[in-house]
Amino acid sequence: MIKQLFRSCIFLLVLNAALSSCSNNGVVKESSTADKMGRFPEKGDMIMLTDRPPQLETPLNIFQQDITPNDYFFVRWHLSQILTKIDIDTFRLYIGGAVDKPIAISMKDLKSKYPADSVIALAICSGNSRSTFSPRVPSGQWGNGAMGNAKWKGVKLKTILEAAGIKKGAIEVTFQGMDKGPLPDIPVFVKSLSIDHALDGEVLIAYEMNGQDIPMLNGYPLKLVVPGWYATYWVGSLNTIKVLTDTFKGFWMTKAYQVVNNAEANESPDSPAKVTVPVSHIKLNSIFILPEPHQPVAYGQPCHVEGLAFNDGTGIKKVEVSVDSGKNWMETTLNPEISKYSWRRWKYEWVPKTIGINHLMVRATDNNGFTQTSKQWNRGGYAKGFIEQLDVKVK
Amino acid sequence: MLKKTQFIFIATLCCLFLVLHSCTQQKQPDIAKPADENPNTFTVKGSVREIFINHDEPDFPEAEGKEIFTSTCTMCHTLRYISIQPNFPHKTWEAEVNKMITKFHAPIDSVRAGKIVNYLVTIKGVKQ
Repeated sequence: MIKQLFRSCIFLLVLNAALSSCSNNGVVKESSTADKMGRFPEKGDMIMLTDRPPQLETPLNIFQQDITPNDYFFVRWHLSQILTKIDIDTFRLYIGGAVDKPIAISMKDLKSKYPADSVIALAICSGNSRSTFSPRVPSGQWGNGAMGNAKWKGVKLKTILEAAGIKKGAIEVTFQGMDKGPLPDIPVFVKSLSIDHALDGEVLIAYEMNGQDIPMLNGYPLKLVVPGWYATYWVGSLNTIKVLTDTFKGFWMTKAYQVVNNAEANESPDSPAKVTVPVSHIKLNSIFILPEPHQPVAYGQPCHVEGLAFNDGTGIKKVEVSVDSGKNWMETTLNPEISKYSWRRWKYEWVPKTIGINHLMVRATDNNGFTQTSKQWNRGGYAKGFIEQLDVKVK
Repeated sequence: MLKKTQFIFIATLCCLFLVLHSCTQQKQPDIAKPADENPNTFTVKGSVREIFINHDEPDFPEAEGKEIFTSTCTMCHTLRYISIQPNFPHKTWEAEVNKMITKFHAPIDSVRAGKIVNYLVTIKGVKQ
């Protein structure tokens, strides 16, 4: 009996030591996954890039769903004083500038007095996948998770602009949210669209995302939705729209989000282009979702390969996969189109026939016949469209 | 059936285990809090909605210029902007700090800017 008691005593002490050492394993800062995953208001576990202002990336496995849930939708703000409190009863959307009658619309009126419209569209940060550029580019080091596909409901921008009456000579429209810089001299976040784009009947002032209010971190109460264009134009916590009769020269249109003006958004690090333009249309791109990175697969066994391809609404003609570093390309099966401005899912069944690291690649071809190339770089790390490689270990 | 003395002995051992374990738990440094202990909140009261986001700054290595780096950069943004970056050459860090001054109008004089660049090169530099 005494022996048994001693045994249990030793067992308990060993167990205690084991438990303590386990809980001490998480101490390493910055390198542990737990420290990078952050739980934010109205959000699930997101990959945290920054918290002031918040920049949160969607974990890759969420992209196995065609529609990205609100609580996993990526977050990207520029200025630290983001909107954190609002009384929706006193909120107004202001439309002014070169209009016949400046108006202030309440949320209630916006929802009840103007016809509703909706679109399923991909929102993607201009800097999505920046961390994959070589050489590396400073700024937000996003993986592939600064994007999401959602159903947006609201009122056409055209409808609201026409309600205010556009004056002759109007050429641009600006959009400003309620976020502010920490110091007064920091340029406020204002974006602009040409008047023709603003009136094309596709740009939406959204008050709903996937059938719910837009999360605060995604731009509650209103978010501009610009289908086919990078999310830098999708201004969140939107409350001010101005019609202009001259060209808008604000910082966020003329200094920031500038990219070389060619189809591939490609320039050389050694001789960067002299002329740049604001980033605009979503570039053709394709990514892997499955197999998940670092997930080994079995030799000779069927392996399900899956991913997404997308562009600015031009549409995807085909997506091809290579399992031998780009020597041979096999056409994948495309899922039916979700909508013109959604991503398109592709699938491929692969039977690995080489033990060791296999270099998988994916490339998309758009409906104009343009195919992704392997070489692209630009100084801002914007509009990623080069061919992605996924290294898969076959055992 | 256990004898009374044996029962007391086992009970004491169990208590000792619990006390020892809770002590080691308290001693450990702060690690990322699990989601249900997170101070970040979202509240709706009638027509008013509000979020609260807790900020904490990551640790940075001790080196010359750390004080100026932390006190200056945190005026506008979290230092996580720097934690997430890979290593860059001197000219890239210099361009980044200059961008803050010329484009974002951060009030940083050239002496402080130089010290910040040197600190960044010390902790996240590469040879050119």
